[in-house]
Amino acid sequence: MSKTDAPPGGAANNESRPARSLILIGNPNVGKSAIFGHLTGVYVVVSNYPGTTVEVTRGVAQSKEYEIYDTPGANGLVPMSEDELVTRSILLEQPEAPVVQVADMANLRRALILTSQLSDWERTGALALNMADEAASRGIHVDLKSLEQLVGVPVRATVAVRRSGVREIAERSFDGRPFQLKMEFQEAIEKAISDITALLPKDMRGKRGVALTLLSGDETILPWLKNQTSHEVVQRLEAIREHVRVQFPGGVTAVINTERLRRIDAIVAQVMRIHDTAGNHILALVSSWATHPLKGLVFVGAVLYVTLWFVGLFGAGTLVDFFETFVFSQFVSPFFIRLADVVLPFPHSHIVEPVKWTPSLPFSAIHQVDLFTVTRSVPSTAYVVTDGVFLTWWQTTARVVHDFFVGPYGMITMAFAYGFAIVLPIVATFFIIFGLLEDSGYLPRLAVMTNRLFRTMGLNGKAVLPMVLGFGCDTMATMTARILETKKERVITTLLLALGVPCSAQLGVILAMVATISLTGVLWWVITVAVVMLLVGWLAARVLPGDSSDLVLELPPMRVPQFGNIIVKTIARIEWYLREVVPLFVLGTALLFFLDLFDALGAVRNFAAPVVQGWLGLPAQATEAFLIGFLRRDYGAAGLLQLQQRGLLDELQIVVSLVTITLFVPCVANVFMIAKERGIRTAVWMVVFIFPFAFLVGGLVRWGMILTGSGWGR
Amino acid sequence: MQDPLPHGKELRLDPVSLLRVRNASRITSREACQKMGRQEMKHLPRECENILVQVWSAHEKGDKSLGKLFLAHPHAVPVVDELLRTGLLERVDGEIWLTERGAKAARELVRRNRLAEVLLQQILEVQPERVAVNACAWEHVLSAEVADTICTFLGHPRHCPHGNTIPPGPCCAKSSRTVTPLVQPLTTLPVGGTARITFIAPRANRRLDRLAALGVVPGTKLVLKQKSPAYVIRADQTDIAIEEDVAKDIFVREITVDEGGG
Repeated sequence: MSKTDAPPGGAANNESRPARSLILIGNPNVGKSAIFGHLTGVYVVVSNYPGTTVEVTRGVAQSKEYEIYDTPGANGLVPMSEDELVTRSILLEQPEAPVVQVADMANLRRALILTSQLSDWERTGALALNMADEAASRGIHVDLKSLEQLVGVPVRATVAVRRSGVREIAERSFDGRPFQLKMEFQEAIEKAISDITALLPKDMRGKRGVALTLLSGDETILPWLKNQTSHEVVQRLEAIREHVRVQFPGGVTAVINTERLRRIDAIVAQVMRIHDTAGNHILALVSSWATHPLKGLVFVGAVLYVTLWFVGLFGAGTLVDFFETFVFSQFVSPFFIRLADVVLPFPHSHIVEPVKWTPSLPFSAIHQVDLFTVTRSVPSTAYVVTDGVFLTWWQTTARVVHDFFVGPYGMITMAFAYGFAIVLPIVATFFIIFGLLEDSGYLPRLAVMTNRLFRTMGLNGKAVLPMVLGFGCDTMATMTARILETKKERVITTLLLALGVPCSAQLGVILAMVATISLTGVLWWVITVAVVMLLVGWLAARVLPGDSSDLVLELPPMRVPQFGNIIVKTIARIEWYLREVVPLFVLGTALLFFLDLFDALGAVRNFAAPVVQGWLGLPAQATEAFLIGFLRRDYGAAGLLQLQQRGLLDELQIVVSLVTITLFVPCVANVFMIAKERGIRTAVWMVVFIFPFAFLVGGLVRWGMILTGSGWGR
Repeated sequence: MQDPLPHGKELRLDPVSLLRVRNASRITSREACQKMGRQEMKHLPRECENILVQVWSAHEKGDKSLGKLFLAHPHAVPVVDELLRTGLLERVDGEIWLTERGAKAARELVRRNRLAEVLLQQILEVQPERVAVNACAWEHVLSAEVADTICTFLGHPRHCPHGNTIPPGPCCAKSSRTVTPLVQPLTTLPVGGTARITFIAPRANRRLDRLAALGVVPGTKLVLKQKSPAYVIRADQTDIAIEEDVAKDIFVREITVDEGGG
C-alpha cells in the first residue's frame, strides 16, 4: 500500500495540493465517507457498518479549492480504539484546519458530545446534520437556527447520499467560526484544568482539550505532549492528573461525560422535537427478528443459504465456468498460444484437447440446471518439441519466453487465467453479498447473535465484522481488526483470520473440491476447521496477556440497501483486491516457472516428501500446491483442485489436503499486513506457528479418518 | 484493637457475637449510656447499640430466651445493666424487653443495618461473607438522613438480603403513596420496560467511557428491547447491544406509565 495508506478506491494525491484543507469528523456510521465522496468525486467505501473507514483518506475537492481529510468514526476525542486514535492524530497534526463535524440528525445528543470536545480543542468549522431525510421520516425535527447559536458554528441539514447541502456546509466551514459548546465541570476538575493549562505553552491551541484528555487518563497523547513541551512538564502534568484521579474512584471521564450529557440533554430538549410517526414498521420488525434468540438463528441460516447459493453456486460455479472454461480455455489461452507461436517460433506442436463448457443455472443452493454444452478443440499448454531437432540458442530463448507466457506455468495461461477467470467471479459475488449485509445494517446484529461464540475465544461479537470480511479477503480483514478495542482482541482476530478463515478465492476453489466428495468428508473438513479455530482461539485467549472487552455495540437502523452504492462499493473493493493480489499471482507463477525451468521442483518435492507423502499421504505433486500456497493459500488450493481433476487424489487425500490448505499460512499480502498492523515479531510468530500446525492437523485428520474408517468409498 | 477476650471464640458463635466489650471502655461505655439516657448523644456506644439490636432481632424471631442469655453472660451484664438503668430496656417477669424509647432506637439501628446490607450486597457487590461485618459497622455511623437517602436510592426495599423485614422509615411512608419503583439492575427490568439509569457500577472505567460515548450515562432514559442472546437497549434514538456482564452493572429505576416520559 502507498505511504498515505489510501483504502479501497484510494484518494487522489498526485494533483497539486491546494493550500487549504478541512477535516471531516463524526460519530461512526453518520455518512462522513459519503460526504467525502461527493466533495472529492473519489469513491470511498461507504457502508452501514460502524468502522468501515479505519484510516485517514485524503482527497482534493472537485472545485480544487481545498483538500479534505476523511477520518474513521470517533465517538469522542479521547481515543478508545486504534481507529479513533487515527482520527485524533489527524486533528493534532492539522491544528489550523477547519472541522466539518458530520452528525446523524436523529442522534444529535451523541454528536454534541463530540461538538463539546471540539469546542474544548478550540476548533473552527461547521456542523452538518446528516441523514436529515431519515430523521424526518422518523418524525424528528431540529431547530437549526437555535442550534447554530448554541454551538457557535454554521449548522446545516444534509442528505449526503443525495448531495443535498453537502458543498455548502464544506464551504461555510472556512468562515472561521469556533465551536462554542463549552462546559463547566466540578470545582476539582476545573482547578486541575487551570493548573494544567498554566503549564502548557501560551500559544498552544485547545489547551482545555489537552487538559481534559489528560484528566481522562489517555496515555496516547503523552508522546505528542512531550514533543510540544518537555519531559519535565509532562511529568508535572501527570502528577496533577494522578492527584485528580484519586478523588474520583469511579473515573474522571465518567464525571466529565455525565456533566457533558447533562448540559447536552438540556440543549437537545430545546432544539429537537420528536413527533410520533408510523416509521418503517417492516424494517423495525426485521430488525427485531435479526437479534431474536430463535428467529435470529433462522435469519443467520437464511443469510448463509443465500450466500452459499449466490457465491458458492452462481459465482464459483456458473460464472467461473463461463470465464474459465469458455472465455479463457476456449478463446483467450488458445489465442495467446498461437500468438506466442508466431512471435516466438521454435519447432514444436501443441497438443490439441477438446474443452467442454456446460453453462448451468443454480435455482437453489442445492440444485442447478445444465443448459447446453459447447465443445471446442483448442491447443493446450502441453506441447512436444519436434523430434530430432536441435534447438539453437535463439530457439531455446524463444522457448523459455514462450513458456514464461503460455507454458504450464505461464503468465497468461496460469497467472491471469487464475486471477481473472477463477478468483474474480468469486470475489465479486462475495463482495456483492457482503455489501448487501453491510448496507442493510445486518452485520452488527450478527455480532449480537455470535457474541457468545466469540466469547469463548476471548473476543466479543464485534469481531464478526473482520471475520466475515475475512471470507472476502483476509488482508482487508486484518486491517479492519482495528475496530476492536484491546490489543489482545486484535491479535487473536488476526491469528484466527490467518489460521482458518479461507478468503473467497480460496473458498471458491475449496467449494469446487468439496462438491465432489461425500458428506462424511465434508463434515470432517468443516468440523476439523471449526474445532481447530475454537481451540486455538480458546487457548490464545488464555495464553495471551491483556484484557478482552465487553460487547458494547451500536446497532444502526436497518435500511434497504441502495443498489447503486452496492455496485460502486463492490467495484472499489474488486479494484483494491486485484491491485493487491494479481501481482502476487504473477510472482507466484514466476517462482514456479523458474523452479520448473531449473528443474528445482523435483528437488523441493524430494525434500518435502517425508511430510507431504509420508505424514499427509498425498502424491508428490501436492508439494507444488503447498509451495505456491506460501504465496497465496487459494493459489495452493487451486493447485490441489487441478490434482483432483486429474484424478490423482482419492477422497481421503482430498479431505486431508483441504484441511491442510485451509489452515495453511496466510498469503504474502496478509503477512505483510499483519507485520504492518501488529508488528513484524507477531507476523513471524504467527507464520512459525501456523505452518507446522497446519501439517500437524492435516496428518491427524488423515489418521483420524483411517482409524474411524471414513473416507473409503462413498 | 480487639480485646483478647478469653471467651473470644465462643462469643463469635454466640448470639452476642457483636458484643465486643473492652476492658478499658467499660467505664466509659457506662457513662456514655447514661449520657445517652439523658439524650445528650445522638449515637449510643456500640456496645449499647449492639445489645439493643440483639434484643430487637430476638424478639422479632419470637425468641425471648435471649434476654436471659444476656443476663447470664458476664460480659454483657454491665451494658445491659446500664440500658436497664437508662430506661431503654426493662425487665418483665425475668425477660428483657425494650422500652418504647429503646424500641425506637433499636428500630432505627436495625433499619440502618439492613439497608446497609442491601446496598453492600446488591449494588456494591461486596462479598456476601463480608456484608454482615460491614453492615454492622455502618449501622453505628449512618445518620438518619443518610439512611433515608440510601433507602430512597434503593427504592425503599422491604427486605434485607437475609429475608428479614426492614423497618420502614419516614421516606417509605411518603413513597408508599406514589409507589416509586425499585432501583434495580438492568437485568431484572422486564423486556419492554422503560427506565432511567440511576448509576453504573464502575467496575471498568473503560466500559463506562464506551457507554458514555454512546450517550449512556446516569440520567439517560432507556427502553429494554431484549435480553437474549445479548441485551439490546434503546437510549436516545440509538439501539445499543450490550452483554449481560455490562447490563448487570447498569442500575435503573423503572419509569411507570403514570410517571410519564419525563
